[in-house]
Amino acid sequence: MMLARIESVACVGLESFLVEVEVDVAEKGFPGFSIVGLPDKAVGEARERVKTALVNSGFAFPQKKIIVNLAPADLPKEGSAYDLAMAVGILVANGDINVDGRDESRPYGEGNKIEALFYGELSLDGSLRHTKGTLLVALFAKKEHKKRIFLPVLSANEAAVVSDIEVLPVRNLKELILHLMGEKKIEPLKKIEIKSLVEAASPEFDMADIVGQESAKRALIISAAGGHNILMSGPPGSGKTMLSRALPGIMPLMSEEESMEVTRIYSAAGLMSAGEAVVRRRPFRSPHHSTSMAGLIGGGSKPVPGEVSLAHLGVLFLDEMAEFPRYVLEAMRQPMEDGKIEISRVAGRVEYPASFQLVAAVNPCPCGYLGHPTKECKCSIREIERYKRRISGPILDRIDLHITVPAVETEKILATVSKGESSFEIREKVMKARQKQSERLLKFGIFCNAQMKNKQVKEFCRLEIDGVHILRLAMEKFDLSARAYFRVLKVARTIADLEGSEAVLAAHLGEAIQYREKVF
Amino acid sequence: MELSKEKWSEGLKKIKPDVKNIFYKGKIDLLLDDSPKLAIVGSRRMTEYGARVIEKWMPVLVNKGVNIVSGFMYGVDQTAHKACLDNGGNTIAVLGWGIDWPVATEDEEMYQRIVEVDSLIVSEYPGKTAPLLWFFPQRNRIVAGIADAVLIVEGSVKSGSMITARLANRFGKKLLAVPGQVTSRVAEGTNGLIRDGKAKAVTCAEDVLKEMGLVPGQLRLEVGRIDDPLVSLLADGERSVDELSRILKMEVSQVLGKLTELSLCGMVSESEGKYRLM
Repeated sequence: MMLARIESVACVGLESFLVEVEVDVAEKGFPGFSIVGLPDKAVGEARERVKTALVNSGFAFPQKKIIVNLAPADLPKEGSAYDLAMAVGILVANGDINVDGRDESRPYGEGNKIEALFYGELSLDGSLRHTKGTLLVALFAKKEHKKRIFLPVLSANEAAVVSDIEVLPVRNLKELILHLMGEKKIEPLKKIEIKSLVEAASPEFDMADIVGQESAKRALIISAAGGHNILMSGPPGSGKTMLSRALPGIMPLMSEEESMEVTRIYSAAGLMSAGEAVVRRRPFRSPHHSTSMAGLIGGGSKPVPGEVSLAHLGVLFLDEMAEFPRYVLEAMRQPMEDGKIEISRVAGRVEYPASFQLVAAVNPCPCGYLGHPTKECKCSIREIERYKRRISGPILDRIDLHITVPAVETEKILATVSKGESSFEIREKVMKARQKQSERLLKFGIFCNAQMKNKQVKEFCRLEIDGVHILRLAMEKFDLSARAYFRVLKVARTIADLEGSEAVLAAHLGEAIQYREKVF
Repeated sequence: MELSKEKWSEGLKKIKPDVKNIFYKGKIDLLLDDSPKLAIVGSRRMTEYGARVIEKWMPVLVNKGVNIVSGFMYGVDQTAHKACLDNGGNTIAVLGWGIDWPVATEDEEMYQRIVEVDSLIVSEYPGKTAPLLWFFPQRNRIVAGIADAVLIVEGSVKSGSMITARLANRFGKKLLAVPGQVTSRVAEGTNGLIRDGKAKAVTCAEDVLKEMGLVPGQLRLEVGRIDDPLVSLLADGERSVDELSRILKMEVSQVLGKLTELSLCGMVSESEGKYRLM
């Protein structure tokens, strides 16, 4: 009878492409419903979902030959998000709804084409389900100057943070059709301001709630202030996990762009919960040491983001780092260096951002109790040595802060310790320090001290004569490598920034030297 | 300027045959104070290897306050002077000609530099005495005489360096030699000294310091450090940073800074997060 063209979007990794859903309902031919255009299993099964959803929404499913073509036909299509476009396409092609004409009440029609993007998974009862990737669709719409997008109501908030487009939240098929017919309007969502959402999010773990561990807290503050990776060594139960969980809360608040960048990844990975607009807190990811390489850095036959990308702009916590298989850790070198990860597979090449701050925790020995005040260590010297060799030099080279977290003797502490600063207060200081760094470093395309290359270290970490002397002695005494030398200087720079000092003083250096690399 | 005999140090007086006069330019205190002095001597035909040894070791030696004595001849001597000054150290050049003899143009820059940075040039010969061949071995007895130890970097069997080596042994000075390739002409002398047990082989700057009775990598201890509350606390037993900061009511950052200082003084050591007195 006629051909309908409905536009939708394909998301491959973090990129999106326009997909035209062409629906032809033919009078002649054997009744049937087929989908072409390299659909995967999930797209193929849309036939059953769309058919049932239409029937349950009160439409008669046409007993005609229906062909759906997803163009461009050579791009593999995956997922369930084309359901909505197909359902609308069938109704238009069958003449059940009339969107033709340009009068006020039916504003979208132009011939058999509807000027909007449709994206969402259908449920059998005709309602729309939470669908992943809606932020990507909205960003795509903005880029391609598409004015309107129809999205499931549960996922529409993600899209509402994008300006200059009209986001129409769809509860179910029936409401959508009434809207398209001009009978009952769906109100477009108001733009959601990210800034206020991010600011309102309180840290999940407050530093003030951690008892004792003053030195570890101090190291975390430095880590947050300079973006330095950190390695904590300590017996089980000393609070390494708790400490690292508090780190995202003292890192600078995410800017709108940062929040959007993180949300993009989470949206693409389907990790946004229904109704959530943006990721408000810096991510904290703690993959277990049995995680596969694909799980950690991303991959699969259709590459999905791994833990390093899910920790983008946040914290990646590797507990018991020495237990991770060596090749898995080695694979982290590229993202740690470049802040992104490239995954190449037969199905295509995908790039995900992966600029995270690493917090690694290790036990001092395989049993964990070496140096414990009350418990006995049962490891042989050889076992301990082998254990300590498991983290390779190149990875350790990218960790600026090395600290020891001693076992806590709670009874002793409770009496003497006062509550420390709250995460909120600390974050203020951290943000001040970061501000200085970005003023200094932005012209080099970097924004924190940890990212400085040797050249910038030489320029910005100049020492007074007593500092030079101390560092020389320390290099000799502790047998520091050239790399370690630069790391000490970077950390000293961050400490100076925290103290609000332009020059790197001997006192800053003295503290930084204590965070040097030890045999973990 | 001439140094009057009353001021002569014991070292100068002991040199045999007796030194007649000492003329100098620069800071004479360098010669007279009791700072550690190391003579670095070697072949004029120095190889890349010799230069590398000197340049690599010098920062450690200078940092330790060792003054470098040598004979202002091209090759090893001048490399040693230059490396020493480059690292901000003090050097003493002993000339084999009159103190006012005009040096060759290529040496003039170094000559000026030594005087300018308050290092020292000395000579046994007055005024514009022209260099004679036998002056150089004579000069070597002063080099060996005023140093606490003599380090031979490179030298063939019949070189002036071997004379300095013999003199050092005679004066009872520590004689150190850098081993070289056994196939190299300029290493025959040094390797020979080691083989015959006349010189001690040194393979790093720390070896040299050790032989001179200096311990590598230590800040000089300031008086009064002993009654630091942190030190007395550690004297009772090992402590973590957290405990120290809690008991002393000091910021963690300050405690860490202090611990660095004490570690560099060689007073405190750390393992598994606990600090203890050495």
